Amino acid sequence: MRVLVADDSTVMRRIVVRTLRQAGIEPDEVLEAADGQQAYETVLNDAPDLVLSDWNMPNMTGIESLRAIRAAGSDVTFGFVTSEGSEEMRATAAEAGAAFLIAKPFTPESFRETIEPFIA
Amino acid sequence: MTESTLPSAAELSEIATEVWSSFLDDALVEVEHPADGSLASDRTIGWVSISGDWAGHLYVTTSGAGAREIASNMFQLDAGEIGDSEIADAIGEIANMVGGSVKGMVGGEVVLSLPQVVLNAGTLISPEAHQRVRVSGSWHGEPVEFAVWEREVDRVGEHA
Repeated sequence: MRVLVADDSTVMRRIVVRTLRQAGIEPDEVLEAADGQQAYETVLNDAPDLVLSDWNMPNMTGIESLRAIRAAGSDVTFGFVTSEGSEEMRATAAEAGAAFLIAKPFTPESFRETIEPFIA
Repeated sequence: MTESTLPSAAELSEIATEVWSSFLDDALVEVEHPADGSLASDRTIGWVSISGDWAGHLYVTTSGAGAREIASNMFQLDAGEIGDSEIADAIGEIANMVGGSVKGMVGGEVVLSLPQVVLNAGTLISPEAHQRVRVSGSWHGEPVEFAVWEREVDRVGEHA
């Protein structure tokens, strides 16, 4: 499985990958993006199996990136990992085609419970 | 406009300690506010701003040594491998996570800024904003403080 982790924070990208492994989810390859624009381009060019994306990023936000990805015809499994987890944001994410939203701070257990159903 | 509710000191402490326990080793211990201004110089300050129906800032402040230790712990790198960019990244992300939770509590139509970080800061002055909630903590012997400041919203237009 190839996973794209999109977050403008380098340390958070590391923590997300570390938490994936602690959750027992071992990617074959990890791709990284530092903003929504990079995430969009990486999805189109490298076709990952799963995208874990922050919401609030420079250049292009996570939700803008997701909408662009869907508009380009990709149905990649896309989930948010973000510091904001209001019901309104969850609804907006789902409407745009997100599979899930994990709020920061998170745990390996919350990663496993939320992500595993989408990678089986 | 929706009525906004600020977190209490206990709620801000709970948010901060949850972030801490998720991403750093060892607990953040809440302490009494230092009376001697132990964070008076060589501060590292990270913040995010919230704007909209409620406007203000969430600040996280620690010592220079504390900031380096936090970054080292989050990156899981030796302190000698930590530079200014790693410190800014780590402190900014903590401000982002705590600020995101505060944003959810104040409610209404609000947006969260990207984090900003200042190293080697002396005095923090935020014009047109007032500190409303503050929590002081200690981690690995270094001070760590979280504060919510509320900004006075420009009302000039209402009197036009």
